Amino acid sequence: MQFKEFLKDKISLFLIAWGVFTTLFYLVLLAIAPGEEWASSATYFPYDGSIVIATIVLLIVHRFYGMKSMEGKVWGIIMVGVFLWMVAELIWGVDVLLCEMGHTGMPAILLDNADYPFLAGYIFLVIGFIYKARHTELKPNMGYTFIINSLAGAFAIISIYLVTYPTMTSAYYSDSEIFFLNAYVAFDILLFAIALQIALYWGKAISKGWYLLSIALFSMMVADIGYAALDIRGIYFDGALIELAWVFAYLLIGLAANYQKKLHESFM
Amino acid sequence: MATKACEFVQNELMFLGDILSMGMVKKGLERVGSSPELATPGDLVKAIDVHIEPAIVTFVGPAKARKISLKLKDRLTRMEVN
Repeated sequence: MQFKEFLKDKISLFLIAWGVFTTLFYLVLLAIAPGEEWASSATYFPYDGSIVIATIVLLIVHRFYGMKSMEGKVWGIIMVGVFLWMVAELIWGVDVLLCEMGHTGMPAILLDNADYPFLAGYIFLVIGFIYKARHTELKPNMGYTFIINSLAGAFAIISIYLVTYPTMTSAYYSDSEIFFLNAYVAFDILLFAIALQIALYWGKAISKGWYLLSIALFSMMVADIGYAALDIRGIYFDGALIELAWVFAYLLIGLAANYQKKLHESFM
Repeated sequence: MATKACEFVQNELMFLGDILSMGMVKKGLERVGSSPELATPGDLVKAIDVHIEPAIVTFVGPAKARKISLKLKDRLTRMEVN
């Protein structure tokens, strides 16, 4: 299947269009109402929309393969992980929406514990990625191993410099906040390395979906490191451009899943 | 109704999902001028070479796909001899 053909698919077009719409939405709001609360709150609409759309695409892909198939299990496990992320994102989004409408917002117990579904989501993604890797015969290749280890090592050093060290030496964060901020980045690097491993070992022709997943995880890593770096300096706000990296990550996960589906459909 | 040889290949590829397995075998047979209802083991061996193996590669990678297709072709060859 040609990549151009994939880009013409309705689901792919919708995911790309949502990405463009979200980017323009953020830029326009930053230009016309910088720092205003209503503008920050408004960005939750396209932001949360991106993960809801990604979850729906994953559900479609999972249903295409079926519960019993290997690929169906992989995308099913990834879908559960992304669904948990969606739950966590919606807790924040609905809270803002309720407050804007003059209500009291979400219960504190949900807001205080929103990090747990995020973390659980990561665990499902790791399981899904490892399940896929285990069903793929990956022969040792020094060149690829070097590339993957170098990239993962470089990102680990950057994250230690920008996230781990500053959070641990700051009095601003609680122990659990330090744990979550660092765990997210660590999981991003781990998932990025596994996805890239699968993509590289298989070659360009058949693993574009896993390259897209690698880029998604890279984007997620940029978002998590960027968020932590800005938050440490006290300059992060809802609606900041760094949030677009999360949006792109969610939409790229959807695109990756849809690519695999289209690829396999082309053999039928 | 699919031939015995065709059913055998479809069943062996069920780990890819039932719709995909049947669709892939059907398209492979069409490419070699056959169909699930008429497929001989020989047709299926050709279909594996031209279509089914490249399709399996996209699921499990080239090395494992090669193993699966060799195993299938071996069984089909024995089926043809018998």
